[in-house]
Amino acid sequence: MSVSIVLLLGMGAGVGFLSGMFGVGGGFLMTPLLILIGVPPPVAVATEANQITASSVSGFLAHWRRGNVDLKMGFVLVIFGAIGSGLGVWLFRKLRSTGHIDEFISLTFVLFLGVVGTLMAIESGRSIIRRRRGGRRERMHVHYWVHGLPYKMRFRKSKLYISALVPAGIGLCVGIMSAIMGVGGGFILIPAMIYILGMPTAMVVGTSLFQIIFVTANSTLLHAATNQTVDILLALILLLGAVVGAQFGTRVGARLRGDELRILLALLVILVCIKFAYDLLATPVDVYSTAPFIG
Amino acid sequence: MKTETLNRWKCAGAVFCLCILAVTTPAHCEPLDVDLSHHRIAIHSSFTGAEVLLFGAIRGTGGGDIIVVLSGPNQPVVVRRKARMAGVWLNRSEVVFETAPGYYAVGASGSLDDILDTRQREANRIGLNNIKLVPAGGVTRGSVFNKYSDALLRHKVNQGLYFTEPSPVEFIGTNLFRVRFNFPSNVPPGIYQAIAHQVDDGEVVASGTADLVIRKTGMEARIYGTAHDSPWLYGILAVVLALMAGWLASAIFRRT
Repeated sequence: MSVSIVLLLGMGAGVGFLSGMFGVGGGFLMTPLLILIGVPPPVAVATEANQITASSVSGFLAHWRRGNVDLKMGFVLVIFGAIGSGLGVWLFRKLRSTGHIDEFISLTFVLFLGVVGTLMAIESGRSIIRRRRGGRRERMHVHYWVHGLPYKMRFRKSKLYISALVPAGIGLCVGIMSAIMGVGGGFILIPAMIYILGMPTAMVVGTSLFQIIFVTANSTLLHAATNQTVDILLALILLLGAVVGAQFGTRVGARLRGDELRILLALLVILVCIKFAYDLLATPVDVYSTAPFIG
Repeated sequence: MKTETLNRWKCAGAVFCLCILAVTTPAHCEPLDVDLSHHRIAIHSSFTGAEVLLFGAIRGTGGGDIIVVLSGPNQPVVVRRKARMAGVWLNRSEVVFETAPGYYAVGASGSLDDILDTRQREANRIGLNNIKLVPAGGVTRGSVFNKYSDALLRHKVNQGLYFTEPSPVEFIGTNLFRVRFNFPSNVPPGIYQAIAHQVDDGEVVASGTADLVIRKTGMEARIYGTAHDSPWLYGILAVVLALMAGWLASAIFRRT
């Protein structure tokens, strides 16, 4: 397959710009874009996992220097994330041999992007309206059922005393998603850490990047070993564009308000979701498709 | 390397079959001298396709027609059919073809119908409809199967790997002939074989073959080779490269 290097660099820069602006990995944008320009979905997913490892390392190091990483929480997330991504790669192989992987990738994207995009749009929309009206702020910490679970653990850095089952469950889910969708899982992990775990916002991005490095590295290794779908060259080209784009994105992002950023990100997420949904629902031009057979 | 030896055996098999065919063909089938302008084609990173010239000399005093079949490595292919399920289009059924040529082109000095009759074309596997497609499971005929094989042919034509029209065979003087074949940039690597037939009065009177190897070269080939021969090593390499690239990026932008 031949795709123009300029196009790939441009895509890397564009997605990098947005990821720098919004503070997410950008996998949920890049994987669909790669599929859109004709990269086979299994290759897009595995290669994007490889690229996210690289971009998460550079993001993580920046947060580490500022002391914004909760290592204990990170390790709990990583251990279960690794188990999850192992499960995900196994499921991926099963689905690939039965020919349902492409649809499964699309369906999970529609589901997750739809839910996360809608929730984020509602939350940030409310926040903007509240700010315009000049109302009072909401409580930082909400206590509900997750705080009643057993196996409690103390996370000093995040000032939390909660059941280890909660971060373990979140880590597991994000691991599975990372393997199947070729995303780092930041767009799920960050809301989950803020709203479910109740971690301080400053700790969230650095800690989630820490977990994403390990989970995507594990996905990359397992995809390469079991499916041979990682393209190192493609990953490096995308990374080159993304690193430069992210620097500009961060600068633009710093000028916008938090809730304005979130509603823009929510709209972007919903747009990608609609594109996937349309492809699944619209009558295909050709109902037949051909692929090399993998026994 | 392993697959290559296998392909060589397949080639040997094809030549063997051809010999049997030549023996069983009623007319006395003689060797035909043909050769290709290239015996090796390298797919490198900026490969945009290639053109190959097959040339040869007909036997006897001239006259007669030439048909050439150039086909490439046999690969297993799966054709899937989407159907609507709960409003969503999903792959619902599939047919696996154990072998389908990765590339298939025909050259002819006239209309195929005029040169050889249907039975002969079928026996010599000449023309899109006579490509040997072996489905796994043994179902070979019937309208359902035909829809899948039609789809396979259609997709290969769209990818520029099969051709609906034969390339024209040109004569230079009375005995020499030549025909051009085009390989698109997505041509699969492997061993290719050209089989040329000289036809007189609807019978094959002489046949000859020429081989061609297409292989990937350069960095891409090495990367592809590593990915398939030692997948764990490749995976570790991919992760280490990503870690280094991420660290490097962070180090560069920390200074600015």
